[in-house]
Amino acid sequence: MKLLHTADWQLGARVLQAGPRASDVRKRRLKAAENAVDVALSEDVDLVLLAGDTFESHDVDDSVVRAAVRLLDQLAPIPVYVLPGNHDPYVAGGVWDRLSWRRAGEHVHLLTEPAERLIGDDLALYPCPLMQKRSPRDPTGWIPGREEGDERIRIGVAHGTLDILPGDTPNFPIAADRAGSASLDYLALGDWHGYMKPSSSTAYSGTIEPTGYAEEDPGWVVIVEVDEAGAEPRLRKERVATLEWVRVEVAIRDVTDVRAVEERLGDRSDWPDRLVRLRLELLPDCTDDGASEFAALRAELEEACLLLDCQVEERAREGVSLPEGVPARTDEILATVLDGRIPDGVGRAVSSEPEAVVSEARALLHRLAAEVDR
Amino acid sequence: MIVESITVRSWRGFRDRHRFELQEGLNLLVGLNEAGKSTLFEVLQRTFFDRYNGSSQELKAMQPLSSSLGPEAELIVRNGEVRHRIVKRFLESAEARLYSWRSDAWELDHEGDQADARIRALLEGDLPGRGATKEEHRGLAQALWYLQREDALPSDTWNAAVERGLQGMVEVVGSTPAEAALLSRVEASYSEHWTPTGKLSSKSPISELRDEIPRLEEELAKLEDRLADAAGHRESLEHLALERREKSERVASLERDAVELQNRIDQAASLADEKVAAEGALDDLRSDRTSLRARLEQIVALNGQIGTAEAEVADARSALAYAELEEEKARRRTTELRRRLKEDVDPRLKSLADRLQRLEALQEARQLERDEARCRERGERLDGMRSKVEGLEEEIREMRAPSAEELETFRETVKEMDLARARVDVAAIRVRFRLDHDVDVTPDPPVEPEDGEYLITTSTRFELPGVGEIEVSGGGADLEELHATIEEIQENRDAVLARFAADDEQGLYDAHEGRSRLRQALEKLESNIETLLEDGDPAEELEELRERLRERRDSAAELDAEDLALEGDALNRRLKSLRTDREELADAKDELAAEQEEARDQHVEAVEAKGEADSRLRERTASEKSLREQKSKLLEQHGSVGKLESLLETQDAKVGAKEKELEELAEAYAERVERPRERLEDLVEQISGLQKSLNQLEVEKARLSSALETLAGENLYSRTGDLEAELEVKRQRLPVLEHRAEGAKVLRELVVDLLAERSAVLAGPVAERVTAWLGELTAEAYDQVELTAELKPASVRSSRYRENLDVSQLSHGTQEQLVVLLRLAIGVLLSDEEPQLVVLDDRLVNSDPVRTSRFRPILQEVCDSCQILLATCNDSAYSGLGARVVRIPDDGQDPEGS
Repeated sequence: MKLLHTADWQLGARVLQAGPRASDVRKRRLKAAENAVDVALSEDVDLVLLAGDTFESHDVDDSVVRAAVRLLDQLAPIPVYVLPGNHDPYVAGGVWDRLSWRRAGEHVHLLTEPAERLIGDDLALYPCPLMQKRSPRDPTGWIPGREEGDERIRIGVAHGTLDILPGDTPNFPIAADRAGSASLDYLALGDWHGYMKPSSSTAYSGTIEPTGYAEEDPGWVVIVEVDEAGAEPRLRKERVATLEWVRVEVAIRDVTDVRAVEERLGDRSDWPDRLVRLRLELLPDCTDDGASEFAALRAELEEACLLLDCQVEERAREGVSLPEGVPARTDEILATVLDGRIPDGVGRAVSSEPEAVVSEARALLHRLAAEVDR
Repeated sequence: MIVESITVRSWRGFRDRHRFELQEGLNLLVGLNEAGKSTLFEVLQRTFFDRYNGSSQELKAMQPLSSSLGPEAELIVRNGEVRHRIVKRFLESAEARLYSWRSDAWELDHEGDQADARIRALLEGDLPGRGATKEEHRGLAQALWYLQREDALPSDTWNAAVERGLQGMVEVVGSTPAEAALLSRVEASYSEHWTPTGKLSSKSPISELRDEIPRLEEELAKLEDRLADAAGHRESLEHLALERREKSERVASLERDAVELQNRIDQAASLADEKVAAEGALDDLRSDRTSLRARLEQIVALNGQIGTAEAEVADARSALAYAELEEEKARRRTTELRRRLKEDVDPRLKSLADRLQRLEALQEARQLERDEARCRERGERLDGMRSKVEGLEEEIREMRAPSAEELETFRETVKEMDLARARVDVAAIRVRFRLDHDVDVTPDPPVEPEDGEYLITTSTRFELPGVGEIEVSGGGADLEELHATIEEIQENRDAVLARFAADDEQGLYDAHEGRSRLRQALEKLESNIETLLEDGDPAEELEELRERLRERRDSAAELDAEDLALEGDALNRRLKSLRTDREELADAKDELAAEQEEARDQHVEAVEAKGEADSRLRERTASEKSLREQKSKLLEQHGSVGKLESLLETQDAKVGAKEKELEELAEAYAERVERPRERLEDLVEQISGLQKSLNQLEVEKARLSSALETLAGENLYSRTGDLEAELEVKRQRLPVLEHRAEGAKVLRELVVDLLAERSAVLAGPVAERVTAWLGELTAEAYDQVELTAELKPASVRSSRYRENLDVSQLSHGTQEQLVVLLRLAIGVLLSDEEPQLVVLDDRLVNSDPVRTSRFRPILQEVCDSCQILLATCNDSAYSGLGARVVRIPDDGQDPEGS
């Protein structure tokens, strides 16, 4: 028996972190789902399990539901079993009640009841659909153990948090040994966005497309093969994601630091598929070359990446040459204030300004001076 | 920077090419009014600072009159070691070019806007707006060039227009290019967010964000409201689903109960038949009993009715006997009354009426006799009057009297004759004799003199005794005609008088009046006759009266003698008495007739009462008979009332037994059929209600689902997400920008404070120099000049009175001289490293000759470090200063140029 295990498609997700590129990212999620369908077709699987959170919300645009149905219909006649997750629980008026969803082909089965479901003679499916968004109850708790003489392959599909994962109050907690205790040959899980295989017969496929910077190892589907009841399943990851979310936090002192950032961002040809969050500090002793190089890299990233979210913490740089006269005196007064002292005469009023503003004023002065120098 | 030459063409009065060479030091531009001195300064200003491609009215005004050629200028300047050639043409084929002298040739450095900007930078000028350059755009030249039409000192205009220029100049003063560039960037950074007065600029991205964020928030709130609507619908649907499930389960449960009850009812179906049969039997028994009871009750009722009928028959018989008696009494009375009327009253009444009629005829005959006498008398009077009328008519006929017309004609004739006579008098000859002695004059025919004068109307002979005769003739034919006319009239008059036998006119008049009186008397008589005839003709009346009198006398003839003898009052009294008797007897007759009528009515009533009593008796008798027959018929089946009562008791017992049996059956039926059926109906009703409620839930579900589908089609989720993302970006950006803007503001304010401090320091040397020069100019009348931090003259101190005077207190000439000195001092200070061009466009014109001569050494001193262009009409005041005198426009004539 060969199945494709996927989860957390989160179609229609708003992806606020993508800012102005949120719409593009939503399209990319559909593209990743399309990749997953292609994998299932090419692998010629016996069935497809969608372990929850197919949709980001019950409110997703109807066009998203229609697109999902179109994709799933491509899998016909491979049976597809769709489990409602905590983002799209099975509730009245939810996304599953949409006319668009109801037009899905007959091979698409929405798992709405926690009851054994026989698929052919050799496979028993134990779905654990969610009926609400939050609950401290283990949705897999109802799965019965194998009866004596039962030779069928038993597969569970659930959506929740394995109790070995971090977190104080897990939503829909799932016992880590559920596969063993319920004699399941494989427990297909959803909710965790990165691929994870906590035991030989339990796995999170992870989301098909990362949804932010903080996720670990997202972007896969899993091909699961089970030869017979009691045999250890064979798992194989297949990459379907189209985007990479890269987060870089670094302090720049010289060109070397800029080069390191560039390397972290990988090949330039991949940059259009990157969403990059840069948190940089231009150190006070940053060299002019370093600053210039960084400025150039930033401009390049802004142009090439799908998104660049760049924040630079800049302090007044040391070693900047200021023209004599008013500029030099200005810098001297600002430095005096930042040093916690109150200057005499002109500039005394500056001491009443917030330190951050005075620091910004001095950084600006230095930046402008550097520009003049250039 | 100094200017070596100015070349101009097609510029106001300079239609042809003019080139003016200048030297370092003092240059005097000398010319009459409108020679073109100020035009050359305009050339400098426009060429250095104006956009070459501008099209303002100021630029168009530069074109020579009736010319469409573009004004053009070429300046050769020297800035440090570098010489530049500036070429500009405005309006038509506009161009700007900047050359530099390198390797013995002019090399083009810049063209167009770039050239414009570089040229402007030579004097640190600012980019003007769309119009022509203003003073504040002139950079250094703002302070150094003192042109016509620019105010000297008035504080308001000076503050508004010149202050910025002076400040700009001061910023430049003493600064290096690097410093200037940096400060310029500081200013630019500040200007990104702030206005010059420190307010947030509307063009600042902060302003845009502050405007945009609330708008996006509002838009987002609307979308979120729609999403909340969807969530609300979903929650409602969940409640509906829960309610639906509960109700469906309840329906299923109730349906199960209903099936069970129906089964129990079906099992008890035979009980219903038994009950129906028992009910039928009981109904039959009750019906029989009711029938028997009704029959018995009928017989009892008939017995009562028969008793009553017997009593009524007896009453009817008594009533008939009484009615027959009454009828006889009434008949007798009626007969008696009729006899009394016929035999007594009527004959008496007739006798009385006859006598009364005859007496009335007698009375009427007496009256007719009196009328006959009166009528006869009236006839006689009428005959007399008619006789008088005939007499009068005869008298009038025989009377000779003129009519009124004839009398008038006679009068006219008399007047006519008098007139003719008067005319004869007029035509007559008057003869008066005045003789010396009395002589009896005798005329022939005789004429009586009037007052001694004779009026001669015909030939007359006068005899004068003792004198002789005088014959007078004359008067002519007219006089004769008049005499003839008079005679004719006189004959007519006499004929009239003779016809009416009158002597004169009076006689005629009297005759006329007499006949008038007779006619009046005749008319009166005729009127009286008509009055008498108004009551009818007496003859006819008399005939009628006599006829009537005969009739009356005939009627009264049968009266006895006593009655016939009655007359006047006695007759009246008798008539009155008889009439009273007749009326009394008539009344008595009426009473008897009424009494008879009443008796007749009573008789009729008695006859009717008798008939009614007879009918009633027959009716009661028949009724009694009918009742007895009914009773006999009812008792036919049962023999007697006692037997019937016994049969009824037996039937009551049967009914009681059947009722008890049915009661037991009904109890069993109610327990096993009726109560379960009621329960079943209740269940069915509940199920129906629940299904109705379920249907309503389905309708509501459909409505909510439809609303959700609609909302889902609006892409609310993605739109909200996109909006939130956009908002978040802007929210994050706003504090960053605000932080930067605050930093830029602090930096700029600090820079401005430091520049102001430096300006104040700079004011010292300027003030020192101006003080020295003003002392020279005014022969030490003022020994100190105070300048503001912005290098504006504030006050001067009088050396004599040791008091400070506000600049506005100085004379206009002195104020202007002070401003010139200020600009010269600034010029000297700015020319420390590089000589600067100072322009004075006839600004010393208000100086007196003494002051003008005292200016000479000052100008000499300034010339050591600056280039001066001084426009004047009179160059003699500046002779000996080594000035280059440029005659305008002659010295500019270019023999080569065209």
